[in-house]
Amino acid sequence: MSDETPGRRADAGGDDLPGLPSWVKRLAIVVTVAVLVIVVIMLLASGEHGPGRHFG
Amino acid sequence: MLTIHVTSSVGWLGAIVAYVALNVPALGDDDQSARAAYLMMAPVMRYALVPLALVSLATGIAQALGTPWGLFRHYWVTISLVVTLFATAILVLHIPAVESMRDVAADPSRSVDHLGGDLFHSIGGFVVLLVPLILHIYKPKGMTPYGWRRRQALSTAK
Repeated sequence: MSDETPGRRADAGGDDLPGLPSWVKRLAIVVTVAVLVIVVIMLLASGEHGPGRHFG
Repeated sequence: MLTIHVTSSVGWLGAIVAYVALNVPALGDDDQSARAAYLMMAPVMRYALVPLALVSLATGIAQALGTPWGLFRHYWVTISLVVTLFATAILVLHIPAVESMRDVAADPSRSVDHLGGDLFHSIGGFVVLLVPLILHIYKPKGMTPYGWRRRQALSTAK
């Protein structure tokens, strides 16, 4: 995080409540696809990996 | 504070690269090299990755709270916080698994062939940490509803 402050740049100006930025939507789609791919890989790996492994 | 945050965050990524590199001998054919690599994964995890992650997380939160960016006013800061918290949690929860592999490697009577390295977590962690890195560099626009309301309240009060 830099010391560039939000007041020094144009950021979400206007009086209307801002909607979800397009980059957040794209990131959400990428994350969802990545999670689904990982879940499929884990299922194909016959459950060799799961949260329980972290407590082993 | 900013210097410590950037140093620990970039150092965290560098330590992950070192951890990924340990998977090369761990997955190789030479048994002694594989055992040495598994033995080294635990100290790299405990004395480099975890401390750097905790320092990065703590200084990031302090840096956000101490500047007008805030923690929940801008999407890029909030998403960076969530991703860093997630990566740190997985890292800490993964310690027992890494130490379990170390214990197997330390026992000459046990084979390390079945351990299979630790590429999934290390490469996954590297990719996940690229998200806050990119967000910190580009700081994409976008205020959260909380940040917007807070700014409106402040501008009304003036």
